[in-house]
Amino acid sequence: MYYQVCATIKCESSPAQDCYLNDTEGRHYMDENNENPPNDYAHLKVLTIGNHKGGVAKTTLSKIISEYCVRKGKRVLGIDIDPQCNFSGRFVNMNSEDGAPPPHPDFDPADPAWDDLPYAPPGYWSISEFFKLGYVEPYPTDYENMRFIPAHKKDLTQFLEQVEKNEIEDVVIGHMREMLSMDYYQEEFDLVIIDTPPQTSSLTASATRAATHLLIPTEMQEDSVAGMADMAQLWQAENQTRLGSKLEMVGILPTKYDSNSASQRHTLEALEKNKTLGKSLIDPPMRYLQTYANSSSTYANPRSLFEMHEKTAARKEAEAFCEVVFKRVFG
Amino acid sequence: MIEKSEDKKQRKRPTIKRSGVQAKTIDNVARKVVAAQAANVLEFEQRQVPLSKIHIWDSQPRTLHLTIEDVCRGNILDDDEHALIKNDELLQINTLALSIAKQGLINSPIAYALPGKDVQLIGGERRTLASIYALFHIVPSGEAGVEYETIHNESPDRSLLETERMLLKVFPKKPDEIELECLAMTDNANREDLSIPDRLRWAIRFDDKKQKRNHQIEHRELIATLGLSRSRAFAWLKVLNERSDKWVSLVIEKVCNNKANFKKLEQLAEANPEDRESLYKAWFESPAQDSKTKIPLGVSTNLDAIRSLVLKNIPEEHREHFEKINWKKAKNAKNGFAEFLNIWEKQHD
Repeated sequence: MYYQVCATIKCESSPAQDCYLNDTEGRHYMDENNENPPNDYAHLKVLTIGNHKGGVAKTTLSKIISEYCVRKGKRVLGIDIDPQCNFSGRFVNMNSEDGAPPPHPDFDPADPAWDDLPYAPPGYWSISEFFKLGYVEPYPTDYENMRFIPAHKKDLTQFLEQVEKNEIEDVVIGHMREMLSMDYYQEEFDLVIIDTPPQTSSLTASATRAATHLLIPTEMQEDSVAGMADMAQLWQAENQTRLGSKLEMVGILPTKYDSNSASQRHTLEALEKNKTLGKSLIDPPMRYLQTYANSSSTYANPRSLFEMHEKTAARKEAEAFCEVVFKRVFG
Repeated sequence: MIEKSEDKKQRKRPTIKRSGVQAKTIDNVARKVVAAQAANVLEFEQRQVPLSKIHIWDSQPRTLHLTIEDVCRGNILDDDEHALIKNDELLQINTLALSIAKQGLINSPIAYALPGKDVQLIGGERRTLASIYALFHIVPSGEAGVEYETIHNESPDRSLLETERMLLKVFPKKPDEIELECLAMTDNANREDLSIPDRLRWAIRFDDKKQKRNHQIEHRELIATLGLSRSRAFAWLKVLNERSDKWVSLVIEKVCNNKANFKKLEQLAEANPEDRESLYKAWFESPAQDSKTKIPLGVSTNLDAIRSLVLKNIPEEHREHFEKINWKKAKNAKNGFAEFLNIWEKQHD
């Protein structure tokens, strides 16, 4: 089902007031003046995984949690807004040369609906189209109850440049929430998992605006922990704009944890003892195990960590922390 | 031996402390997480709101009897039960409307958003009513030296309320009850015409709301909202804390009805509980002294408004005399207005 926008995000202007959405039957999702944007989703949960520091296992966690929730029977939509496209690579067969998604399996240039679109993408859909055109066709994945909106390395980088140049950050920030408020996403999915890039950009802010829950992974080292402060600042700014439900923190997950390292042990103990952060820590931490890296690679075999032997240390550990995340998101 | 130990010293290298992430980094993160968890929508936005979508707040700190209907009509009906007070209020609204017509609205009223496009005022009721009054009853003057004048528009076009907009500071979400009271009072605190009874009524209502939440009112809150000095804030606090006492509550009632001054209330609250009855009886139950009650007519700096009011209501035979008065001089305006009141009194006796 294609959803059309009456006026899409154009880089020439800031058309916030015109950006209202129709489905193919012409129903409006927002009022014409955009004065009453939807605040809360009906039942959809949106989990954004973020830390401004890179290499803290955001993408690995996005993959693992997506797979865990799919296996728990939830209908999951994965969204990758990181131009590195690693999350996309796990679920969609990305073009290794230019980081573009493959042609969409439902792509049919002869489809008359294609002609109605203000701009026909070249056979694939990515998160860039989601922002630029206001519609996208999620890709099917190996899992029946999971679909995926991949990133596009080149397009996304160019789009970010245009956003910055034309100063339309505000429009971009609100866009993802508006899109996910549409009936299609509300009805088709239980959970959206968004993997964010390790930087402050309007895309990260957009993912935070769209989120109902926030998961902050961190390594037990200075820069990663300090990166949580930036994320908390974004979280605070977000809650200061929310009229409906506040953005909730699922927790802080210590990642790449090495219990043989005295400094990491001390850091974890210090976090546990802290009155505020101690309550938010997810136990068990994600240890530094090669199995995580192996299982999350594009050509991993078996495809999923959860297809490994039940007694595999990484699988047991992942099941434990994913269960905590699952319970905190779905109650 | 000496050479050997010096060699050892040279070879000693600085070691890296394996103490993990610094405590101050963790504390900084914790502080920001607490701030994020407690963050609330507080910022208001500037919004152009059609006049018809603005709801007047009945529980505002300053007592106001006027209704939007009265302001649109531009006069008070003779059979109105609050006619006397309303006429006085309408005079103030007229003054304010002339000032708004001349200088514009400098300080926007504050409100919070209601479902749809409506807004509920928290502060600035008089400014809103004056803007409506100006829309219907203030017109540019044809006379030299007078920019605007008041006319009585007998058939105001109410559809203008739908189209004419006013700039408001609108909170997108209704503030918390306590916050709402603070905002309303802060918006009014520096008004000269915010009377002691209005302030006292507000303070009692505020204290009630705090007590419902098992919170004590603090002197800092009175300083921030009522604009009191520290010592005055403690005097008010004493009154509020003692208001369950029979005699104090009786005097509070009198102050609220303009039958006693606040100084007496302060003295009573400060007095020993066993002395309060005798004080009360001495003040209020001793034989009444014959005295004429003085009613203040308020203060106006808008001399154009006084001139318009006088010329509009003066009988034709006196008109020429009053037109000759130099209304731009405060002293002349004061004498002229007193003269007008005498004529008015004789005419209506």
